[in-house]
Amino acid sequence: MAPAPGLNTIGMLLAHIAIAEVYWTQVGPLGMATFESESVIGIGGDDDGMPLAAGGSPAAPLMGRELAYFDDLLARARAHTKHALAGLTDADLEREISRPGPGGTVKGVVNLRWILYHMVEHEAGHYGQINLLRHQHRISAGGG
Amino acid sequence: MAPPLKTLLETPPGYRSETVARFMWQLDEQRRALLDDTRGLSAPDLEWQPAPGMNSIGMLLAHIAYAENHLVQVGLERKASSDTRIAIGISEAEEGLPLAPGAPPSPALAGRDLAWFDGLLERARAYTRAVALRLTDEDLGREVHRTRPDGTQRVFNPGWVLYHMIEHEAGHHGQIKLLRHLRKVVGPWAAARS
Repeated sequence: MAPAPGLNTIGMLLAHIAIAEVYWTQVGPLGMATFESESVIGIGGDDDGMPLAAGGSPAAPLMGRELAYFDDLLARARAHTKHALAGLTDADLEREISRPGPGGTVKGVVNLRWILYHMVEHEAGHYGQINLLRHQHRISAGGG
Repeated sequence: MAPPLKTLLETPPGYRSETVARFMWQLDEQRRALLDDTRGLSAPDLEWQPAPGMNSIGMLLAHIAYAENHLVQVGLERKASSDTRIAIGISEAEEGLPLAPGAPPSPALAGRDLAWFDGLLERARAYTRAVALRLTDEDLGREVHRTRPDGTQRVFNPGWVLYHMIEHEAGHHGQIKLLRHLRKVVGPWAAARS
């Protein structure tokens, strides 16, 4: 449940964390030219429904899903990441990666070290939001 | 066409440990993003709560500064307790977290403008940097055994402290972004339903 139309749900944020982790692992350590999450975690890159349009409803592919479903997305994304990182050396961390943009353009250049940092800050930021949404839900349900 | 934007995690010079230097790069990058996302906030924006008992953006900014300085004093300098009021100008009681159910924002922060919160963050980071410059690789693994004010024992190492400072600021930064969005979306939405 979202606090208001146009706001992300906890489920959407959990799915987004898993999808983004697969994206950065494929673009970075695995050096893949295109991103594909369906074969890794079972949902496509747009199935988190983010960014949600103003006044939009929660992502349809996630409706009615239990916590175990989201736990599984996260576990599969992390297993994929660990597998990709296992062989990296210190020297690999300096490797520069061109992020593919639309129509063969380059969105930007990052190094592998930055990708690992960004994976931490990205998950931490959305985890903070999940905590806030839980608190807000408790208050609107009459709790503290 | 402009060249692509480069975002490279680098190793700033001047630190005794390259690992510590890179932690500081990450903390500074996180701070740059936090400051970007808070420009233009007014004192009423900083005091706004989605509901009584919920943190305001101002409280979260003060908490980030307080927690950073507290963690550095007890976690990196190994002090038995911290005095953040002397170091950066705010205490744990004044930042107001955790807020009691139904409570208004911390009264110590009432009417403070963005420049005041920027000052807290800046002083906390200057303190952190001065301590971090002296840390060695060996220091990162040395365990700290701490007895908390409630008597519980806590064991950690400075490497974890630096990691935790990044995830802590990133988590509250995420909440600040959500609060900005909530103020825009839920404020008018809730008013229309009432």
